[in-house]
Amino acid sequence: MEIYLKIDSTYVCIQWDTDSINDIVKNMFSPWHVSSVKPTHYLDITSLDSGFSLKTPLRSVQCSDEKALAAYLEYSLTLLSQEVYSQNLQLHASCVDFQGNGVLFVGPHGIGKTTLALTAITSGFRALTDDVAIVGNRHTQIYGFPRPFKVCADIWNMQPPVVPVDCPYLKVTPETTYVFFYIPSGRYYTDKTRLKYIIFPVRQSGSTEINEIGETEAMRKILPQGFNFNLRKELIIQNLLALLRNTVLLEIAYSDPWDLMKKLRVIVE
Amino acid sequence: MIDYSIPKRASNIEITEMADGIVIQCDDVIHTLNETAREVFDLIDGKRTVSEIIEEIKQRYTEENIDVVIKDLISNFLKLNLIQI
Repeated sequence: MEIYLKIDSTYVCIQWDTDSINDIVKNMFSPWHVSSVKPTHYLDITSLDSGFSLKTPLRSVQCSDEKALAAYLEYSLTLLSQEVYSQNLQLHASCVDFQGNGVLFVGPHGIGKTTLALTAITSGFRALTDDVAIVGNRHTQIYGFPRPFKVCADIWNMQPPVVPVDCPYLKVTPETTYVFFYIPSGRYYTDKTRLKYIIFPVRQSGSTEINEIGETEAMRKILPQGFNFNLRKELIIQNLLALLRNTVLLEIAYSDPWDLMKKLRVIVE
Repeated sequence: MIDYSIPKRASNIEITEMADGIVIQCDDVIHTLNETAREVFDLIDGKRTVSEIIEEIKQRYTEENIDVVIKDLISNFLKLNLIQI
């Protein structure tokens, strides 16, 4: 069996030899499936007596079971995608879209990027990307990073729920951690957007406060979240500066993501 | 650092102007300076002494202990290798 994925202008073929993993392989990257292409990269999955072998252009690994295979597959495609986008600035950020206007949530690990993106999606925004956003060559163009959302059990179990109820999912390690899921492409996903708002979330107690911030403060906050080892630092700064100059820069202090989203909706509408 | 030291900018820095501050790249490290820090940095030209820089800033701001703040700032620039004395 085989499927094809589109990552920017690159095509990847995933091949496997057993029906037992059909759901895993097909489901995890469904929004990025394409047909009739000439692939440039291959990922081969072979069943073994004890688990699976996954061979990728970058590495080969042995996986003890389906869940380990799913985790390695996601990891391998993340590495491959980063390679494909090696000439673009990448941001540690989640991104959603509302009627053609992109909203980027930028910040360090644990600040709530994924939670906010999911709350936004549940509030009527479209999904673009969970954890990594790719900055296009035209300054405010943002591309999604082709991989499923990945959340920990806490986010998965949040009440009210932030994960849309009809998303196909895969619990990788049920006791402790991650759930992968994708949002059906026909309903939510978009592949790129024109960025209009950059949000820097900050956690605080009390009600949501929204403040516009200046370029320098925004640069201080966004710099640690921009990465690409192939780009010169000057180019990273120029790319970020262009992004900041063409967008509305907001610091939002929040405790309740739903309250934040209600106020954000008013701004973007 | 003493008051009549004459600080000058390091030769290996690159400056990007922002609307309300500057970004300074020094080797592989990037620093951002807000508007106030930038005012001080702008006065570091290899000609003014530390006390002359303090006097100029004092004419613009009335806060107490501003000379201490400016000295701290210049010391930080020095530690970060953005300037030399």
